[in-house]
Amino acid sequence: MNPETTDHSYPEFFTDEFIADPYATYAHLREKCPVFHTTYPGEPVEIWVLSRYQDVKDAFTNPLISKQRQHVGQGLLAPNAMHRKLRGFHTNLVMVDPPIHTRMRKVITRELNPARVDRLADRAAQHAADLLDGFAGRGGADLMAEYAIPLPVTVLGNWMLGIPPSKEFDEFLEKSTVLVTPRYDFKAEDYDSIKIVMNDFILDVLDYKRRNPADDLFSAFVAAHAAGEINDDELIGLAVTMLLAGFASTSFLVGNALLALLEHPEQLKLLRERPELVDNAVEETIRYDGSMQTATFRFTTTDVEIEGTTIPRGSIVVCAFAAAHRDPAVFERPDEFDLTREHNPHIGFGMGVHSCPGNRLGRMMTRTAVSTAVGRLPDLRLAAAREDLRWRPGLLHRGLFALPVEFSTDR
Amino acid sequence: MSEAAVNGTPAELFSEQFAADPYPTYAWLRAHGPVSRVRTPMGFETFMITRYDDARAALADPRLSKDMRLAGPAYLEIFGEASAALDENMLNLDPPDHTRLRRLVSRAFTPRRIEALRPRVETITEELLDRIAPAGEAELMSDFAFPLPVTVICDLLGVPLDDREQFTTWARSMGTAGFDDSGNAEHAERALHTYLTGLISAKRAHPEDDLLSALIAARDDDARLTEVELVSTTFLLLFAGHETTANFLGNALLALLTHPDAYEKVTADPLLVPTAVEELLRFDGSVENATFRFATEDVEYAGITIPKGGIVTIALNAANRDGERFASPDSVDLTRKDNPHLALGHGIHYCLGAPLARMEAQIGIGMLLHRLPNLCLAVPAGKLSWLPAVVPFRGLHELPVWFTPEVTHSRRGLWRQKFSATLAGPASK
Repeated sequence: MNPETTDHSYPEFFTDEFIADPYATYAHLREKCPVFHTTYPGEPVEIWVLSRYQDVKDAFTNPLISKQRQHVGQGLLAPNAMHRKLRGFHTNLVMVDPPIHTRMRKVITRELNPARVDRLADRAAQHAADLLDGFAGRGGADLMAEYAIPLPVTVLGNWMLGIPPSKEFDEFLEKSTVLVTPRYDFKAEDYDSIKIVMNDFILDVLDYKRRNPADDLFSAFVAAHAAGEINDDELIGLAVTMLLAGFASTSFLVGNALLALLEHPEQLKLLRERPELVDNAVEETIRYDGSMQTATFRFTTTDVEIEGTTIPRGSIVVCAFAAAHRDPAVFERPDEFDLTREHNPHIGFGMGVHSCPGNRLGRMMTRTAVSTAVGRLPDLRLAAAREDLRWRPGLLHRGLFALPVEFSTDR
Repeated sequence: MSEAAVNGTPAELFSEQFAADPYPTYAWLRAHGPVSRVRTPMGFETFMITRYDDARAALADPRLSKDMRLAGPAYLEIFGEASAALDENMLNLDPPDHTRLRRLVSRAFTPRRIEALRPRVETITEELLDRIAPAGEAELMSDFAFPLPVTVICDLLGVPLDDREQFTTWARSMGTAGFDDSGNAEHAERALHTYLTGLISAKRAHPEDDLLSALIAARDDDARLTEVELVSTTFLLLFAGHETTANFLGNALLALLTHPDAYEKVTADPLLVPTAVEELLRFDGSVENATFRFATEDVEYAGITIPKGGIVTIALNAANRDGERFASPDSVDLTRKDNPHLALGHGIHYCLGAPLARMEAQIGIGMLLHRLPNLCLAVPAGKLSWLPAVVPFRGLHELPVWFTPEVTHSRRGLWRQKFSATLAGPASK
């Protein structure tokens, strides 16, 4: 089944217009083509896009839908297409099923525990304030480069994971952002060349933590490996999981939240008046313009029928949060950004065994970033036309390259 | 320089450690014993020259003869009988015989004639890579480095397709086991001799448009070479025409894989390949020592007298790392400008096949790097096993690698399209 290709008012998949604003396209798919079969323009990767809330939700817990690429017969994601050096890299948490997944996830949930996250909250708020102080006197800033991006580098990277600040770490994160927001025409070798550099960095960091253990997640992973709880590939996989999952997703969410507030001045005003709504602002942003446009790839282990369409065995299933979260079957006035929304059962952190184990940390960082910026930057406003904002490519994320803003310097 | 002094070297000459990395030892020798008397594991003594200036002079020194039939009894005992029937070629002769035999084949190796082979070399390389690319892993010595030059030289000489695998087996066993006591080499030499004799008879009966038929005509029509010389020359071309290039391809690829900056540089700019090949020849050439020479009179190098009859080893790889001649001799600088390396020799015995070797290396390395993206070693470099140091070739037994498998799209043909014409150079125009 394919959407009408002529006479329509929504951008085609994989176009620049789609990158800038995918919601009209998703609305069309949700309505007319809830199981959309399409192909990437670069690598000929075929995907099946689910856009209805219930279908996405069901897919997360469907036992016939796996995370392991061994089920893929051919193409970029088939096992025989994998660079042999990257076996550990591909043993990350979003690419494995139980029982490997269970073993690895146990280590993460144990170490990334609520107490550990909560301990960092005050320091994170202080750090957010320090970042703002760095440019508060200037009257303008790029809130991505100067705020949303550096915050998780410190909180998640330096403090939680225990990776010391370095030029290499910054480069690593830049590369990883390109990897998770690839141009649609990326080829296998483009992905691999980035992954190999990242892989080498990860091996170095793990080696460093082995020699310099501290109270952090990477030290805990290394200890779990030394204790035989996880094997070599799984150790690398855990490190990759933490490094790929938490940075771009948080930075983009902070950017999208601030942009949504700037575009809805009445909501920004409301938040200033009632700072306790910041949690709602975070949840509503996840629904309205979340940083995860889709979930990570899933694979059918057998023919699977959804909405009357048969997705053949070994296919790639893409669950589109950006579509599901605007599904009028579930959300009232889905295209409105509303901090006082009462019924918001978004599934932005996924569901089932693969639901995001870092959601508490992600929420904490985003909440901190939004409330600190809103509280400390008076007269905050966009310094660019909406249509001039540039969005990162790729299907996985939705995030800005830059968020230029202006504000008053007098407090 | 006494033999004892050599014992102070970082790694004992001919040891396993030396085979894996001879360069610290060469550096020591250049500094402390530029002409050292060493005893080979085969049992005879030789004078090893390690400095660049000395090596270059010795390569062109007419007092150092290559006609080993006149060398001392110790040498003859070891090499005399087994290979005599294959040894009467220009590499083992002085002028005027050398001049006569070299002239017979040199016409086939002019830059222009070699350029004409370019499309064929590219096709051979492309077909080898077609087989390798989808797998994501390969053992590059047997999957690539050997078959490429073997196919080219067999094409050139006119060795029938069906015989090439057998030929490669003999040649490899001569190259790798040729200097141990296993007897494999001797067996291979005999077999190869029988084979070449048969091949010459066949070509004699049915001449074709190939180099071997041309050599046979030169003998039969003009009596310009003897039958033994014909067999020996054929052998030399077949053997020297691939063992050197094959091992060099392995060394060159390894050097790139262990020097990530260089790898990045040449993959980003494939037109660097020609200077890269020269640098890699200098950095880790496959002809570690020039073939033996012996002194026809007393000669002096670096203040040391090599007595008449002394067997001389010119350590090319030692000379090519001489800091007196090369800036930063131990680094890989793919854009090195001042690079008069001795990897292909010097003087009247300068490698006849140099234009072919260069072209094979440039195409082989350039196309392979392009076709197998994200190439990396499949084992740590320290775990690779090298030919024993007594073998005059420096090369790897195996070079296992990983790369991005060619599964979803092919880079086939792209390299030829983009770079072939530019690399072809003026000789083709």
